[in-house]
Amino acid sequence: MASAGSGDEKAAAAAMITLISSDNEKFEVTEATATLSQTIRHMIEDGCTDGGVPLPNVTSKILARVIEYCKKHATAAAGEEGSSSSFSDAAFLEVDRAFLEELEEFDDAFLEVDRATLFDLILAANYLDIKGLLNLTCQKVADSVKGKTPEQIREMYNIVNDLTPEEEAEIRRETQWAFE
Amino acid sequence: MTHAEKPQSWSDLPTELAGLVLCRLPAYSDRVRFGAVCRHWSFSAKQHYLPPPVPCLAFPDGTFFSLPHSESFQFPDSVGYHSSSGEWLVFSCDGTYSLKNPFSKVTLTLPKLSCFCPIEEPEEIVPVTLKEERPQESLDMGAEMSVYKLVVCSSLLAAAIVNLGPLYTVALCRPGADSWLVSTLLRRDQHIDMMFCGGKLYVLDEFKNLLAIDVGEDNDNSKLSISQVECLIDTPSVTFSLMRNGATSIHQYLVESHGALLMVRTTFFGVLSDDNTGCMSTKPVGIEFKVFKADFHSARWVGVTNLGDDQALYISQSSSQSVCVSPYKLKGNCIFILDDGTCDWFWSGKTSSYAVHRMSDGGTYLPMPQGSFKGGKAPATWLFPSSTM
Repeated sequence: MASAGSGDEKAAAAAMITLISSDNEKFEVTEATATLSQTIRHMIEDGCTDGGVPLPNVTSKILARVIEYCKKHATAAAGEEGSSSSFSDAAFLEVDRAFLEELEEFDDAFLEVDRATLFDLILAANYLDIKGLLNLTCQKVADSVKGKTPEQIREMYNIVNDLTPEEEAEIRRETQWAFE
Repeated sequence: MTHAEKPQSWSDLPTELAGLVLCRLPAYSDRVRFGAVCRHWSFSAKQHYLPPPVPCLAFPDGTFFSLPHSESFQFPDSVGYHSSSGEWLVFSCDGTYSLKNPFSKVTLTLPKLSCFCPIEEPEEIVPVTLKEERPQESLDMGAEMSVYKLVVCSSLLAAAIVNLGPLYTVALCRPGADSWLVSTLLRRDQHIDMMFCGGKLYVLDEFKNLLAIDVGEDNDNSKLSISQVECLIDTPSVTFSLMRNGATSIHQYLVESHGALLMVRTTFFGVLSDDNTGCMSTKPVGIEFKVFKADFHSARWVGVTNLGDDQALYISQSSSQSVCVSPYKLKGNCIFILDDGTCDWFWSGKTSSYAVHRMSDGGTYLPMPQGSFKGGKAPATWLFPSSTM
């Protein structure tokens, strides 16, 4: 099984946590990566992670993506901690900026997913309480609906218009201006 | 247990997550259309107290621009407004003002301007500094009253700086009531701006004095009174820049931001020039922005150089507000000033109806033309849609 944590040999010495997806796949990750999720952080604090953390709401496909995000951003968080002690070092700040740019590029590429995956990522980010990922994914949805009509949004997100003709007429009466 | 084996639909987006998307939409029009997609999204849109959207730029021909986009919308009911206050457009007809919320379609009518009477205001509440200025006279009931600025505090209370004979004073009314209630004690040569914030009315006069007025409301008969007047700032601590041999046009605006009471002062500088036909006209050469914060402790205006990276001020004579723009990934620490009809020579020939001033480097620029309206009876105005839908 291609465990998402197995490639990181150096980190293996650090405390490792096993995450178990809804389809029973196991992912071994460092504590630093796992604790980007507040939900998992609380479980670790409560000492109930022995034998793995079951995540019945997250499939292996989505969990692999979430771990990919957390790994990248855990490194970023570690970098920030380091920078606070040597903030006067201009060269270090330069590196820092380059890393932030790299992180932004990573985020942009990370969001290049189909609508169904984006939906699952939002639900997973919410369930696992990963603030950065939740912000990122919700921003993606917000950006995608800007300037779009309800019909265009329905088409984009494959949503069936379940408003009754009466409800739709009422919405239109109140907000006719937004539909012209 | 739910997992993604069964395909889920975006229409099932949990309400709280729909809220997270909605609060990242800066344009009111986008929030409205989000709420019209399906039944569940419509429900979600009504459940949240969202951060205020960025304002709409309204023109008297009924065209609205839902900022920050350049998309325009038509509001036929809004044609011919007089001014605005918050989310309300103000209309004036035969000496009567009415208020219309173009989004909710609610309309309120204010008392006729010819119907006014003195408001209940115990004389001892007026600070000494105000009393000394002029002897108290009774209200001239025969004088004609006109409105200089109207502030809609709520759907139950409107306040106005009114012109009564040679003097300015403050008047209050309840929408739907029979008459305006006018203060005799607050008469001054000039009140220049007024705002309602945290249950109090704040009034700025020409000497930059700042008054706070408490409005009393009798629970039994809903009668309005003035229960207290406090002079918060009475020190002429603000100096002006004037230009030699030129034209200077100065305007002040009160606005609340981050709990602080700010006064924004804009100064337009111009020089007189001959346009080759022998006609003299004023040519704009610059604009200066100064921001002051009311320091209640020292009773002075204190200069401010930074508004905060999350705050953008939208100012105009009718209505000014500070909007937190950080959730929208828009740049803050700036002031949007509207062509509100106060300085024609500065705006003439400009293709945009507002300018943006960056506090960080002092630069002022005109955005891409986003509609412009010149020469009408009423100027363009900001309209601040409510946070709830």
